[in-house]
Amino acid sequence: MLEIKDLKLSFQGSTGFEVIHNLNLSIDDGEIVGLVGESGSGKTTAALAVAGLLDRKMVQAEGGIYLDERDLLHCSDDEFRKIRGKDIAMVFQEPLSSLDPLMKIGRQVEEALKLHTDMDAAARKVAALEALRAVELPEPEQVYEKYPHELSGGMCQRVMLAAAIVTHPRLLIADEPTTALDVSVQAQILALIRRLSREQHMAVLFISHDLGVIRMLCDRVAVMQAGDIVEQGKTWDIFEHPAHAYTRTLVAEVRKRADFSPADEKTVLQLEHVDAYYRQGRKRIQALHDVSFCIHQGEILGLVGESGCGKSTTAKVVTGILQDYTGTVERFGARPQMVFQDPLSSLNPAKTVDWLLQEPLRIAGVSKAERRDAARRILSRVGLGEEHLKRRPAELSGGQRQRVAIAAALIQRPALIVADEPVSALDVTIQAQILELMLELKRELGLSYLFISHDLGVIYRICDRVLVMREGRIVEQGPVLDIYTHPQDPYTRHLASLAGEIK
Amino acid sequence: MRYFLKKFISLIITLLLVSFLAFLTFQIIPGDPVTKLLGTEYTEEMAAALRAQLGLDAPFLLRYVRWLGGFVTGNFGTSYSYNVPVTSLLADKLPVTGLLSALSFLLVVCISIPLGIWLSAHEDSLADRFFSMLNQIAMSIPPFFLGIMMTLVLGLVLHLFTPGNYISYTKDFGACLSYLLFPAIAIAIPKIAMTVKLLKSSICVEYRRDYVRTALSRGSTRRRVLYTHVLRNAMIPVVTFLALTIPEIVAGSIIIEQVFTVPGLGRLLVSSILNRDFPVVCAIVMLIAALVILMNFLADILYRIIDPRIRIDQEASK
Repeated sequence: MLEIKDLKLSFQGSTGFEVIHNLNLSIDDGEIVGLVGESGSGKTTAALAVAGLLDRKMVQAEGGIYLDERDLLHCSDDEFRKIRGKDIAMVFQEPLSSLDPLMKIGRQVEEALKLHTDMDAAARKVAALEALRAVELPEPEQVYEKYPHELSGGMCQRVMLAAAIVTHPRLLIADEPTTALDVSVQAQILALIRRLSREQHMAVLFISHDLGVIRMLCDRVAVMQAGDIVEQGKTWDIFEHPAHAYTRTLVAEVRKRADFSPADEKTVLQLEHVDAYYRQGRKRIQALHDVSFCIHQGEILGLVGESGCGKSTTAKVVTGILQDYTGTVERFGARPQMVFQDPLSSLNPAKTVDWLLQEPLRIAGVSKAERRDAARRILSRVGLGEEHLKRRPAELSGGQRQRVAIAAALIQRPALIVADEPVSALDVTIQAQILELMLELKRELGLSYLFISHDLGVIYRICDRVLVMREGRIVEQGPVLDIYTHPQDPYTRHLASLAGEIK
Repeated sequence: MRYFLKKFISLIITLLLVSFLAFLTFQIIPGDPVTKLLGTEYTEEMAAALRAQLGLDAPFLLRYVRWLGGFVTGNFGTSYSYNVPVTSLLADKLPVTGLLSALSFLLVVCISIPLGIWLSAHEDSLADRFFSMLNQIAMSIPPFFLGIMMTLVLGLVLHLFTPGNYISYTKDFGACLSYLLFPAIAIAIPKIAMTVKLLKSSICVEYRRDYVRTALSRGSTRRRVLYTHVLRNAMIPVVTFLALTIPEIVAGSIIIEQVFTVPGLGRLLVSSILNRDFPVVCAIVMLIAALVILMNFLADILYRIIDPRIRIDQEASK
């Protein structure tokens, strides 16, 4: 049905370059095809080209994109507009920001009908409600009257899907639609996409950097690297017998499990019967219920759970940011330091790396010469050079920034680092490098980590033990392999079944 | 409801503070209304008698409390120099300044919004660059200077209007409006420049948002995306800005009335300050203070009406 032939895309202008070299891909009616690759590999650009959302003045295209027999690449803007939203629909990565914040859900779902059909208002409403029901939203009549900010991320993505399928398109392009969602919501959305595809006989072009997700959903998969499809075939074949070197590293990354040195018996952190509270307005809300655990020297303790389960509150109690708690928290050695998810927003953008690294020492009153020395030493420790000292966070890559954040935490020689989703914002290969760095620091310095993540694949790869949290309680804890192979709590079983797909 | 009550209480407190400061200022600045009224020929007895008659011999705080008491009950006092109640003086002048301000605000809204939209659609074109430059200039010219230039060029050279020949709105409303149009333009031009700049950049920012891509992916034209999605989102900061310019426009008209000899509040204010006519000055200061606070409040409400996120968060936190 859709056929991409010898597609070549290049950006125009002074810094013009070719993004897609020679892309060939076809999708049949009702088929789900995955397009996997890192950011920058050209997968989103290719998808936007299929949907005709690239600015034709900015991007030069060669080859052909055919929907049935129609050549989309060479049809007029007006003709394309009649296809877009009617035959080809799209959903995007960030569901909340992809919806107009000032417009009620109902009107947004109806928009494509208003543009492509001559249905009257009443008929449109009936169709919109039907679409909202089809994406399994509870109480569609009420959702219809709501605004996007009143819904959760998962619900917003369902709304996006409803708005996409309301015209019964033949092709749905989904660009990382589950990346911003919690793991269990992710699974529900994937199941929904699969069901809609079957029921409406709708083809899906599914773009993701996450092989685990692709494997759960797609019939076929195409692997992209630097503007080329390096391998494509049945999903099962690609996973079991990856032919291309790049595919092999991707598959291996997902499966790899790091080597561990046995943990020392020395304890660096001990929490006993901790109840923690935070304030919301005048209310005092209990965020943690009877939380007890310990971390040994050289151990990586994983902390998993959905957003809002108390992971971040635990981190705040451990680092001493949150003081409103009962129970005992014992820290041995220097104060634990934190590494955050988004180094771009957690590092002061106006300061150089040198300044950022020296800051904690400056507060501690260390002399200037010693500070400078320490900053240089720690920077080489995390794999960066002196040339990075004078740069500001915006002048570094995502991986380099996270290295700086780790260095800033390390410079005070803590026994424990609390890492809150430290690799979630990074690409697969960069992710692997940062995890490797963390493991290396653990081996060489005997560092311990409390590693918070919603990504079970990452937890599986680096942690020794895992805590599973739900609604402010620890529902299960134990060695990582036990949790994955013999989950006890029903919630953990649910998580592990999802993780099983990823493994 | 609690929200309104809170706002109302803060309004009262602010007005009290302003009134005290205004009263205090007159205590501090040199000049005595009694000697101003009596001219050059007077005896000490005459001055003392008049001072007693006006109640100016009482201590400062007592005078303040007396004045405040009258103010609360709607008695703004009597003007020293005109010897008429302040309320009737204000009732006479307020419509003139009100008309001038309203006209000026209307100009700002009617010109800057279409112009901002048009310029955003032609970003980086020759026209855009020309207007950006013009904008920079317009923003930096003070209205009184614009007023003087307009009087000179439009009035004395081109004879589009006769400077100083203000016709009262009670006599000929149309003629009054066409005279007020010129001072209104002088006040409006810098405000138009600012609003255009704000709206244009706001639209350009909104165009880069994800929901625009979504709307385009449904097959909307850029034009439709602008009117159904982008404009409403882009108007949020602009509406707040516009509401806050209203007091500035009123303040601007006070100065511009001098230039165009419009007999409004501004002229009354200036002459009352010169004559040390406290009751009139205090009443006008209070009026402007109340307007500033009310407009802030209005901006807040408008913000809530346009943006559902704020509306609901407010309800949820109650």
